[in-house]
Amino acid sequence: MTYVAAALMLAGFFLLLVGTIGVLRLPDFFTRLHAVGKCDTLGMLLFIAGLMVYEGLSLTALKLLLIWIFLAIANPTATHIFSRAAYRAGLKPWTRGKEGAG
Amino acid sequence: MAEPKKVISFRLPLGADLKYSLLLTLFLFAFWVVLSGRLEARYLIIGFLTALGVTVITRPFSVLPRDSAAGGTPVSVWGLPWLRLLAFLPWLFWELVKSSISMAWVVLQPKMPIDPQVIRFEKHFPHPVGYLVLANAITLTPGTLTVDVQDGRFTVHCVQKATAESLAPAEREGEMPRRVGLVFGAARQVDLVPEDDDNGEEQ
Repeated sequence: MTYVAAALMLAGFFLLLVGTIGVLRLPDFFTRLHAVGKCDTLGMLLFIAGLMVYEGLSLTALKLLLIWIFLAIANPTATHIFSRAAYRAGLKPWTRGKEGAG
Repeated sequence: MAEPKKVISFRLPLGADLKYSLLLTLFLFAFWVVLSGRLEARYLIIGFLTALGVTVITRPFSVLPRDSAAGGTPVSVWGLPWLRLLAFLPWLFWELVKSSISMAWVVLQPKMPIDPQVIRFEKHFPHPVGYLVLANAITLTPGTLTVDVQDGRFTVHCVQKATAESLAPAEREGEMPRRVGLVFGAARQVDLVPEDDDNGEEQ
């Protein structure tokens, strides 16, 4: 059981790492949000799932499950709010054709 | 933004969502018991009164207005097709896994094969929560990110051209809007509208 938990947490850790690398490497705000919105959501979910497996069937695991559900809803919603604010403020998405122009 | 003649009503008769209010109270009470972990009578009574109070205070927020295309009458936020929504979730989770892997692949490649573009399409739901579910589902699928939703018009940012075409193909409905439409019982076609303020530059 400990190995399953460790595997889940390592996978989550890897995805969080990739999300961070994505934020550093991608060219503009929207594409960076892609990296954060997906990799970090699943990374956190896997990490908490790993903690739940490690904890076993208990009250703590149930509380972790509640955090899990909240994260699964809140993360994409927050990502969407950020991107909408940027879009309405007039930020133009980076495109391949305009490379070097802005 | 909205036309001046549009009338938005937030009034819902109390009896229309009494069932949901009672269920919400029970759910919040169970939530309390789980979090506190104590079963003495005084904690249970305080918990139940708190759950009841929260239900009464938040009831105005649970009434959602609907646009005239969906009938115009407001609905309760809890009146969802819960079973079909639950059946939809495993598929969505699998999409999230695929999306994370593809994003990781794109990010870790030295050349980063990205070609971002913005697409628009239109989709209407009889229940307002349908917009929320589709918007969040799009954000979690490979290479797409919901930027704006206004009156059923979705603005979506795509990392690659292929993902844009899989979400909103030119002649038929995309897989994601179709599935969410099945959950919420929607039937209206989806149009692919190219981004207009793009200066007409072609790759």
